[in-house]
Amino acid sequence: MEDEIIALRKVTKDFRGGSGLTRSKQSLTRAMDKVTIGVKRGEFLGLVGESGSGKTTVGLAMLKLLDVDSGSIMYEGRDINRMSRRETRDFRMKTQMIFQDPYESLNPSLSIFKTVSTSLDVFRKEIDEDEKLRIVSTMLSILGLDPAEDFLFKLPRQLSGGQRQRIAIARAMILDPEFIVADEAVSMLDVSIRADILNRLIDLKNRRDFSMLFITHDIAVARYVSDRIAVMHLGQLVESGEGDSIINSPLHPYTQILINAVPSSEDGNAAKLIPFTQGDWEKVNRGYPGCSFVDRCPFVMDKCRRVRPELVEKSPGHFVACFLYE
Amino acid sequence: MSANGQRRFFSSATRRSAEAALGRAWDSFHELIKDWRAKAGLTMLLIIIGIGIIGPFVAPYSPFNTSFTAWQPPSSAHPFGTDYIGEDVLSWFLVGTATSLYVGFIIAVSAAALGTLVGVVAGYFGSIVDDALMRFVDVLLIIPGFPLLVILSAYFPPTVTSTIIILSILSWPFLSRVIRSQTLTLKQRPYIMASKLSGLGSMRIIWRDIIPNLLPLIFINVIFLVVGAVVAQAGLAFFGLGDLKSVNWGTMLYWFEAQDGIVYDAWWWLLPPGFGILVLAVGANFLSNAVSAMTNKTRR
Amino acid sequence: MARELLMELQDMQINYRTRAGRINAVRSVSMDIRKGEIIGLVGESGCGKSTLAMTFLKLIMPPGEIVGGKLLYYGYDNGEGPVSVMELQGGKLRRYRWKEVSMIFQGSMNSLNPVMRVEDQIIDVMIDHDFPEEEARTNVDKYLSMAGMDPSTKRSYPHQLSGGMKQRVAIAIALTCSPKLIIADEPTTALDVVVQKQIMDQLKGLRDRLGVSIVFITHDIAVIGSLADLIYVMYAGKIVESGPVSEVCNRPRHPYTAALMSASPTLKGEKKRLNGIPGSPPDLKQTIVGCSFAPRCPFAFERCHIEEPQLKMLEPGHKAACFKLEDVK
Repeated sequence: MEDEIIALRKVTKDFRGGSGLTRSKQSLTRAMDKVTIGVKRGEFLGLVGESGSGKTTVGLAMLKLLDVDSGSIMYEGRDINRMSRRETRDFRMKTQMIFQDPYESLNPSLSIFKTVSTSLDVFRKEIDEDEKLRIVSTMLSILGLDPAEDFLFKLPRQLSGGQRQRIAIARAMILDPEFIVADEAVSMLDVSIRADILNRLIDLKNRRDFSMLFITHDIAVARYVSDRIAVMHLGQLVESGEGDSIINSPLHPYTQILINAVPSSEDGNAAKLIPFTQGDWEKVNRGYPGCSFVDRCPFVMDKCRRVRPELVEKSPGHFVACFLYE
Repeated sequence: MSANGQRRFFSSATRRSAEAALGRAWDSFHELIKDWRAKAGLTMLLIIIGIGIIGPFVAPYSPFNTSFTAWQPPSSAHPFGTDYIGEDVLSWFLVGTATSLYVGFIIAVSAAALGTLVGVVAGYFGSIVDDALMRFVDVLLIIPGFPLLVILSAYFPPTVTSTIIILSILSWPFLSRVIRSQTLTLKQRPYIMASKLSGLGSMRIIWRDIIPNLLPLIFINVIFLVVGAVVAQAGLAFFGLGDLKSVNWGTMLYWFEAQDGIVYDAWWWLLPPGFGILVLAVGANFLSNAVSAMTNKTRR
Repeated sequence: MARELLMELQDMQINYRTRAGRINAVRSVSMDIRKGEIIGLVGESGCGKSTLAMTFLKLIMPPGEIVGGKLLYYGYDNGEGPVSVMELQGGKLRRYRWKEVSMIFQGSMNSLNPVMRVEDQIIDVMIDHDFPEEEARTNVDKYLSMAGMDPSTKRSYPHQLSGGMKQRVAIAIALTCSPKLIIADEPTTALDVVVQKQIMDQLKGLRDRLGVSIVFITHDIAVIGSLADLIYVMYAGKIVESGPVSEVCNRPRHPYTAALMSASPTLKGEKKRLNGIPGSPPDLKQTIVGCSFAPRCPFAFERCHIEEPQLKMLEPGHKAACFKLEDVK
């Protein structure tokens, strides 16, 4: 599509498990199975899935942090695996990532100022330290670390988890990137801190206009930050569409179960959309030629095991890969 | 703002970042010192180092002054007695401690530098670089150290310099293994990936993100290398494979043994170098136990 | 409604002695646990909820120390009156742990022994509590199926099981001595949402079938909204609000509870802007003057910073500690 800033086209990636003596063909994990997904310009796309669904792999592939086995990844119309050195440098300047664990994503021996100004040191060598201080301080204030002077020359371990995550976001935002991957960026934070950080991300987007792939296991968080939501299941993209459309009228059985399972404090006795089998939910096999959901699906048909359903547009902008809707 | 003012600001931001890092080291030191093992270990090491630094200046006589009566037990004139040709043992000990430590320190620092360089490069770049360097290290590691020393010393004239070179070469491979495995762990940290995403090159990542976080490990290993080098040096000298003209703990032990100090019951000649080695080794162990206890506790 | 009282926690106070000073982790908490009740204890990290969990099994070890309060257990079958848990020793304490009160630890799937088969781990716990080995062996299947597992998995080693299955093994182990109370400390935190739902349904089913009481500790108020009968909201070592789930979740009275509710994104209704809570929880090393939430509270007035509000009954069973609520009356 024209307005996509970054797009994966039928991208597949296998991880070979085991090492040394135990290396064998059996332990092949398909982290991405012909995944086609695009992030539109100025959009927050929520990518939802359980652990092991391959959602992080999608994020890494988009940032050229991973070699894929097949398929193409286009950034502004250029294949990121065929970029020249200069184009790669430009790509690095315009893309960034926010990591999950605020305790692991900051170098413990670098001051906050040094950490946040890393990209400035590399790409904006012409600006002097004074200007860097000003830019970094502004960014810290925007993210709620106010007054910034109190934080600039501290070390990560002097800050709380929430403050560290704000630093990590500041580092990612400092060069005004066009595209950011946020991988479970708020999942380790307390609820009260999480809400504030999500709000600031949304405000930043309105102010600075960038796109984001927001990877999360929490579909409620995805709904809150995202314009569109995509759902992944064991390496396959099963559904995507406008946030409200996905939440209010989920089509794929997996999406329905996922939404159904989200606990709600206002709940009481919510009507179950569809029941799912107890017990062996986690016991799934990979590597079927067909749909990845067959082991869990209450509606599984013979066809599902043999043929992989394609993504079809059920209503404008709402895609689903399931034979129930063909 | 004037150019001058800007420069001042520049230096202040860099300085304050460095101060923050130094503050961290200072805090860790304070935390460490709360452990009694750290206190005890550090005290022991400082005593020996203190003797090494001021010893040569306060030695009452030249170690080579043979004008005294031989085989004298401790007395007020010779607190540590005299040896087989009437040299003052206290003077030997004071000057010998300095030599032993000085040589040990040079060996430790050069081995640590080489070991860190090889370990970090192998660990960070991985694949072929790693394989090549580590196979080379493996070869060095499986060579039995002391016999090799004996053979080498037989071919090269035993001087202080040759001792330094030989022991340095034998000491770094083990350290490079340790550093490599820690680098492999650090390399997985998300902040390394964040630095890559920010466009930093490998060398700057190593310098900014890897080495500073290896420093506690390097520090501990330097202490052990010093001790190891002092002991090895003493061992070489004891077997007569060091520079026998040099005054150090090893040559003290060598002459004690060669001149049948045991027959003369000259315990005063044996104990000073013996205790020196013992205190150094025990102190280093205490300190390293305390450091590893602390780093295990404050991991992350 | 009037279920039989099982456990009574009165004015519990727990400190940790550290080099940096004394941390008042739990500053006066009272709680009644009745038979067959599921109690949700909600709080953010560092509020003292895990410390409180350990208290129920008398597991507070130095540097932690109980400096005040009582824990009374009413559940002994032999008609013994209330027993002070803090005074239990030796064999009696050992029998109290697990036969009366058991626990599912935070991340307990990682607390399983990796080199022992699941069944042996269950049998071990039972033998430790004086069951003959034969009886233990025959009961393994029963406990595994109570925890929602296929008994045929008993020959597995932990690494062969998924996270949810390991958590079920931990539940089975907690059930082995038929306790009357199970303390579950964040038992679903590391699990995917579908598995979390299954585990919670399992716990609820156990309560319905066995009549066991459960204290479910979590940081996520939404999780217990669909599970618990009663909610206790904990902040900075104190309970700030408690009451029936429907009351507390639908009409939160304490500003902190209300803030927690409006900070959690939901799937229902209109997409509303969330409200974060400014600032951070107080440092429990310092003596707290006034209401601990006052510095972050949008409604705080002068009195809140000087005087500490006490829990006040607002409606039957619904309590909150806030001056704002008193003024309304």
